[in-house]
Amino acid sequence: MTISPSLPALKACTGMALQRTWAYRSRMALWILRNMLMLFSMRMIWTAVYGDRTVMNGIHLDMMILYVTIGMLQAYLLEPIASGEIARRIQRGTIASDLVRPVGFLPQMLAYDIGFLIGRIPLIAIVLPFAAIVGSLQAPPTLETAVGYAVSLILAYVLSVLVWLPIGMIGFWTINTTGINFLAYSVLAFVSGQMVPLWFLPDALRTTLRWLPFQGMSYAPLSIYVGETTGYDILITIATQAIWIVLLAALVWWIWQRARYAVQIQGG
Amino acid sequence: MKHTLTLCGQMALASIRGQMQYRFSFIIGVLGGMFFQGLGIVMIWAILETFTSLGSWGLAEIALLYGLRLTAHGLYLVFFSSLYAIDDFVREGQYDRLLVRPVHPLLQLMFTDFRITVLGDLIGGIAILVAALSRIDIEWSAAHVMLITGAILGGAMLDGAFQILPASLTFRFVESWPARVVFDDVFSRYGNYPTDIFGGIGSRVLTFLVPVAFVAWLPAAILLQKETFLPSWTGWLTLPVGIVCMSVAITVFMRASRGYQSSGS
Repeated sequence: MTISPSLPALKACTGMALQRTWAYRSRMALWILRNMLMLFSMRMIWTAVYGDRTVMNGIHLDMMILYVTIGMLQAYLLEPIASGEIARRIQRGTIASDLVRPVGFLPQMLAYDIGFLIGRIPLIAIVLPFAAIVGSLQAPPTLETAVGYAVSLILAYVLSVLVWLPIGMIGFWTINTTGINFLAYSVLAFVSGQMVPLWFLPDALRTTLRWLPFQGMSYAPLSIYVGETTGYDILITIATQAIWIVLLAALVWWIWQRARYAVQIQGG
Repeated sequence: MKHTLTLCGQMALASIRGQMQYRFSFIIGVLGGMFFQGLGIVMIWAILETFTSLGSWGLAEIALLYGLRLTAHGLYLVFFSSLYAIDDFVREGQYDRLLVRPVHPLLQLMFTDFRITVLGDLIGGIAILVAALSRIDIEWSAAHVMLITGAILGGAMLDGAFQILPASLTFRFVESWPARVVFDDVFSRYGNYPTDIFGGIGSRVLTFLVPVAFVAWLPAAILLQKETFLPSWTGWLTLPVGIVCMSVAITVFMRASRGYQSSGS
């Protein structure tokens, strides 16, 4: 596959996805309402468990509320769409036309994901004022933190894409992935540290999750943002994310080589 | 009446048979539901390992709230899980079918698309409830059993009422799932915790406007002898409040259904 002729085609995929995010902007109000309900509940639960304390294991309550607020925004921005898209296309049988295109299927899906990401960036701006009122918003304390967060966030996005792609590909074998998606979604929310930061987990669980790639999807950038991971540790965090990206990319490629021959086209 | 029940049973069985054709999806679906709810309690466990308590509530006590709420929710789902299909029914004009048959349309709607996977929520709820009760030191009496049974039945009705009420919007706006999802969020996010942690205004809203407090917090407060901002006998009101809300919801739903216009296709 040469890069030059496929580039316009991939750009078209990106553009399509971008337009689709905006086509659904009426859903934005619902999304904001649901997430504010979630954010408010998390804020009050953390406030209640802190009780009379202001600090627990070196973590301020303010830091915790910032963590859940940024975590919510991040989850919205980083949610990869391709796995759901693959599932839908397999179920409807339209995957056939995706596969015969002269551009690889995986690049198409990645271009699609990038379009959705770009489309959601301006939507984040609409959510920010709500998030600031219901939760808490603060800029990262130092430039070092801000740069570290930005790099880690990009890597978190790549990791999310790589974790979700094989989940979508399960559909090549099972056709229906609704249950699997739901299962994966809830498990990932926990093991990525989005629900509870790793530092508040019991020792055994924390150590296990540290050695898994999933903490790089959410916890890694968040812990940098709130100032819990600093200095040299930022570099280690980013390096860990990068290593997982390489390993998972290889795994995704390996699964894809098998999935493409397992494909069944639905409908006539 | 007997005839109606037989018909409902047959409709439910027919849809169960349909779903059992996809055995893998069925198993994943049940597991998915149990896992999702199980993770909620794992999250609470993990936080309380560090913090030991949430206000005056320990892990077993929060688990009691969680178990009561989830069991009530599971029971509601067993009867009303097909309510999610109302948007499709109205948009595609399938509601016509329910109107020409000699059984109450809401009853038919309940059983035509009976989702068997929701049993995961009910099983998970009962498991958490039993585990929590076995870790709580109370002297059991008939009154306690009545209290818990009433809370579960009333809680299921409250859950149902606040899904049927927004569902009645379908007849006017064709789509009502966003409203249903929001109420579902409120029950599942706020029902598992002592209501008073949500602040003065928040806890009043959750008691008098959307009575989530009655599902688990108020009855559990009697069982555990906790103070609430209401007199403790209000914990007995879950069932009556549930019945009232349910009756209102069904009346509103049937009124609204008069505005139903078939799609004509």
